[in-house]
Amino acid sequence: MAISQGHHAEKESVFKSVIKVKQKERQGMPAFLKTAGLALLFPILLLALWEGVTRFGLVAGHLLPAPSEIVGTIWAMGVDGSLWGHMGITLYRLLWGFFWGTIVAVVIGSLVAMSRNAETMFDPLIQAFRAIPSLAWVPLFILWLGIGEPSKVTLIALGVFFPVYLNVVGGIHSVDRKLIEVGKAYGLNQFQLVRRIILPASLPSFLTGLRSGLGLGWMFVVAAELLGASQGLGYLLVLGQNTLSPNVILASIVLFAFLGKVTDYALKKLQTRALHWQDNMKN
Amino acid sequence: MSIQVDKVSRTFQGTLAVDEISFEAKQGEIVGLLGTSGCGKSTILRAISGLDTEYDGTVCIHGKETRGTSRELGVIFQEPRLMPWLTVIDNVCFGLTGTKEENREKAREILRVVGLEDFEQHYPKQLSGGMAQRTAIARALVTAPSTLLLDEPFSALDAFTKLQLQDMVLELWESYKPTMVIVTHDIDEALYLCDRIVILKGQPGELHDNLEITQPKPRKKSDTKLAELKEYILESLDISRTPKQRKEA
Repeated sequence: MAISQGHHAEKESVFKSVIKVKQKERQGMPAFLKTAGLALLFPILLLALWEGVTRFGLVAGHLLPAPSEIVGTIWAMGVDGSLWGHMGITLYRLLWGFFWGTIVAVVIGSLVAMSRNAETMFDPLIQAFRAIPSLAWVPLFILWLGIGEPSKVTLIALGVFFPVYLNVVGGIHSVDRKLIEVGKAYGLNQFQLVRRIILPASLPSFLTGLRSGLGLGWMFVVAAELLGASQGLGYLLVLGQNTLSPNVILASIVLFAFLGKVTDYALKKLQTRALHWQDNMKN
Repeated sequence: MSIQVDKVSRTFQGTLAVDEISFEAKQGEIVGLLGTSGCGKSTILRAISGLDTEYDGTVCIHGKETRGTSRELGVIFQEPRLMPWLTVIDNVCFGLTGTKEENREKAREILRVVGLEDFEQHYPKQLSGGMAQRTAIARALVTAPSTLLLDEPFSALDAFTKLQLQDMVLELWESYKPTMVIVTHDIDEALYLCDRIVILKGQPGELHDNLEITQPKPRKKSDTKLAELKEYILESLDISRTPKQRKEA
């Protein structure tokens, strides 16, 4: 009797778990929506509150415009076409600075990481330069390169350089000696070791460097455009301040947030795709 | 290919680690370097492989003195040391120099031998310890090196996988009879695989004994002659008693 009861209980528990699995399958899609809903809940509430307090005159509307007004400003700029010019020039400056900063950081970083002599020669000087707040260079760049594009791109490239450089050097230094030995056991020469082991092994660190470099790039693009530009999202900040239009300032901030997020997302996608082989918590 | 190790010593930061070790591995012979930990077995193997060149003495491969790595030597390490960004098949192809298609064909063949043909597109993170080590063995074998150097290749594996891979190595050896030098601290493993056991002892490590084992392979683990040899090795390594007892005696 006891045996048959136990058997019955077992059957029942199997039955229950089957039902649970089926329920889970049915809830698959709503579960995804639930996460999205949960993530959006707080921002939407906040926006509604903001809209509410400005609409009902609880804060001064000429200092803090409603979200709808900011969207309206962006929309108007989109319609008259000026939006694309501002966004385009800012993106151009950022990407060009990011490109040069990265190239120089990879070349010098690899050299310093691979050769002890190069490290002794260059690294102390680079570290000393790193200690200088990069914005301190601005007056000099303007003096040397003028107020046009070169000084802006140089400033952004300088900002991108340091995080990428540090991560390239750190990444190469932390390549597992045991993997390099495998390459040596197969008689690979120095160049082959770099291409087949050191580069792929230091890729995770390099990509981390790229992402923090991009973050700093955005910071420096604002600095560069604040200091003297006739177009760009940073120029909109200055324009908004001078014409007492906080809606333009906030529109520029929203656009910075949007573009920053999009470019970082692209790099993050690249990172996930290139590093799918990594054995870590996320994978 | 034969290997002659002649009076090889190695000093690390002023401390002598191995002292004038000499032995020979004839062509097609499996030689075991056996000893307790810290006696310099791996140091000797690294000298033979050419990964370490700072030793005194000479290593001759096929009668020619060499110092440095050579494509004639295949090395299997204690850990699999697979490239985590390469799939199993690309890891196996790592040391090959031919065209991609040729290499893949060779790699597939060897993956069938080690029983990993269904895992060629897997990444190292998806493999168990035994599978990863089998991949490493395949990577070393695919270039068909005339000499294989194995540095405690099975010490990190569970007992069952270990037995399985020991048999696999023996089968591979049967197929083209490469010369093999295998570092181990496992007496049973040495007795099961080797034609000659070089026993190292002490710190700095010195050559203690050089035993030839004539029993034909494959051997039975229960062979009485092997059991006697095991007893002899245990006694000569002086590890059947604790150090304290030794002092008292």
